[in-house]
Amino acid sequence: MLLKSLEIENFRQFLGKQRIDFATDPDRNVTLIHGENGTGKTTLLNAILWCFFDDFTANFQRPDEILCKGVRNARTNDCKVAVSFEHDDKTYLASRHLVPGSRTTRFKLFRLDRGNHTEVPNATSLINSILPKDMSRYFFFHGEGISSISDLKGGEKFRRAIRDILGFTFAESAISDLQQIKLVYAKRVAELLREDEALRDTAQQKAAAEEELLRLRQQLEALTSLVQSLDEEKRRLDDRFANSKNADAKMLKTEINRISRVEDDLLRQHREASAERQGLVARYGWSAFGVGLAKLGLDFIDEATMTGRIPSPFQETFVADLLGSGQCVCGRPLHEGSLERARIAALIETATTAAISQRLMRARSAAANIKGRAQEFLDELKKIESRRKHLDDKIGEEEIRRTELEGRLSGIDEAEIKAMVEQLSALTRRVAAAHEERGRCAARIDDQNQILDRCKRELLRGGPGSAQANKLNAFQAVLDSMIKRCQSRLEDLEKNAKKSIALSVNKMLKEFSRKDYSIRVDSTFEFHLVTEAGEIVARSNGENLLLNLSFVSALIEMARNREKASGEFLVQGTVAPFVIDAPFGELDEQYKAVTVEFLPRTAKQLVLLLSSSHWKGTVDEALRDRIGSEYILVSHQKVEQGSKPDDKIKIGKRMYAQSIYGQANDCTQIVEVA
Amino acid sequence: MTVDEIKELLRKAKDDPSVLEVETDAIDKLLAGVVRIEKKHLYGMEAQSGKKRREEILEFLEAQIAGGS
Repeated sequence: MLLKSLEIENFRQFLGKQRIDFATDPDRNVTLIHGENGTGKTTLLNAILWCFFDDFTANFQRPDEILCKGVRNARTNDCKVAVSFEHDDKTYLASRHLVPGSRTTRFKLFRLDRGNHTEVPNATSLINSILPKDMSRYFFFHGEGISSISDLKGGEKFRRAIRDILGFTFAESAISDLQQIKLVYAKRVAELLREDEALRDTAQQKAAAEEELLRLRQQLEALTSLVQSLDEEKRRLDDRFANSKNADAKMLKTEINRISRVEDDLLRQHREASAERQGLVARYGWSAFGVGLAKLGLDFIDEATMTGRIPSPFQETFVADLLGSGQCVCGRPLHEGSLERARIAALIETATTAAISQRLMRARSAAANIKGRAQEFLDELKKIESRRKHLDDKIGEEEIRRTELEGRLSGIDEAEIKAMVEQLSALTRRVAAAHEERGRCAARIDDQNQILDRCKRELLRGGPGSAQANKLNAFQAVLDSMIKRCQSRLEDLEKNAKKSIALSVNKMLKEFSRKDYSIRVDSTFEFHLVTEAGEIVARSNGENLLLNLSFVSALIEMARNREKASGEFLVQGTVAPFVIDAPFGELDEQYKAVTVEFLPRTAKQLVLLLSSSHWKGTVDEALRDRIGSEYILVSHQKVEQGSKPDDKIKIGKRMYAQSIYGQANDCTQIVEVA
Repeated sequence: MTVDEIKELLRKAKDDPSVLEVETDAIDKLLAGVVRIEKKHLYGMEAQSGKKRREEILEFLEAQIAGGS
């Protein structure tokens, strides 16, 4: 998809019909839109999303109020967005308008060919085949939300991002539908087996377990979403603290957040050490219990060997030779039937054989091995325990420090800060409660799965039952296989994608990061920035932002690589423009420069919406040669300027006003930079 | 696969590219059919309910499994 133009009419602050023509030249593929806060950068991004998908970004306030206030009293109140784009050498025009007097919208898609507009049937289907809605959030991106992707607790978001870019939508929906269908069949089987006393209860229990499992899985999904949205709320609250005018509150909160990240990392290390300990006990713990017995055995063998009790001092072959030769070592003859011969022959019973010697050697070796293993196990265990103790101490120290700072923050005597602290407390409690509930839900799912497995075994053992019930059971078994196959394929794809994205991000970090760090993605899909030695480092806000931009770029690259995929199981990938609002947040000048260096390479077409503080200097210098189209969002205000300073921006050699006062309406005008 | 096995596979593929095709069993084919129905409903016809979608999937599966059994 290559964007050609955007026409926006009476949408939020954009009064009347206004237009942007996007840069389409491959060498000058950047469209730069300047806009100060509140002029409509986020609105433009959302206009495109709304046009294609009737959707908005998470940070778009009051999405029900999109009609421009300036037209409410006018005769015409058309609210419309039209986007023209190219795809597969064809030109299209997508258009969505708000039905006057309602909140419903109408969407149309036209193919443009030599001046003719031909309406495309199944417009939504075609748009989704060009740019799937689930993928669109990574191409039409609000940069201020970018910090949430690779947060320490953001593993789920990263996993979701991979699933969206790989196009898991159909397969996930298939799994859910197959599970629902299984439930229908389980109930049918229970109905059929109503007459069979032996199997009736089991069939009913199975159906009940299937139903409960479905309900619990849905509950688990809902809880996971709740945790994510609460985390999002906490992040927004963090932003409010960060932007607070109270310097003390700002400083304290920043430090509290830093300590929280350190604590999270220490807790993660503690969990890893505990898991290591469990693994060690599982593998070698038996040796610790066996060491007492092994010592006893070893001592016995050594003592008995020394005293000649085991093995017997007489080898079987030696005794056999004596009997065969008919003469004892002392020279006496061993005649048949003589007492001497009988005594020598009796030694065979207790003589040592090669097998006995070998067994003794093995026993000795095993006992020695157990002793050795036990010692190794105990040494390793000691090291892990020492590490855990050290981590416990560090966690305790950080907790004390954090609690002290939180106390100081609560003590700030300012109404707004107090309200925010109270809100944060309430949110923290809700997050903890949601995590607990999620844990309980997961445990109940395990219980139900055990019940289900038991019922399945019983039904299988229970005999043929009715022929119809058997058929339905067989059908359920096929559904089970399909669900497992689907889940297994998705897991494999996800795992491979995780590696591939980590590789891409590491490649970018190697090229652009000033430190020699790389990323590691753990089994819960959490991002970690690690040193060469593999130690996790706490990320600065700037590093966080750079990492997240790299991650989004890697996702876009993956979507591009999958453009020619068959689309049989997953949704096909896509090439789409990267439209990003406010990407530079907390980057310092060097990181801004490297971001500006790699962003235009990421996508075929790049649309940047920037305020002047993000654009001036480094970004402008680095981007200038790649800009193919440039606009300013000029704020029109009814109020007179009065003593307000001139609000201008210098681009090239020209000055442009960014605010114009004494106007008829409060709105935004799109002005093209010459 | 070992390196030698991969080399052998590639050598065979030179003469007969079909050796590289992944074998799909009956379960994969059923899955592909279900995913096609999902695609049709999720992208093309938002007016259709989940219930109708599942009914169509059920019809498809019963036809395939009855036909194959």
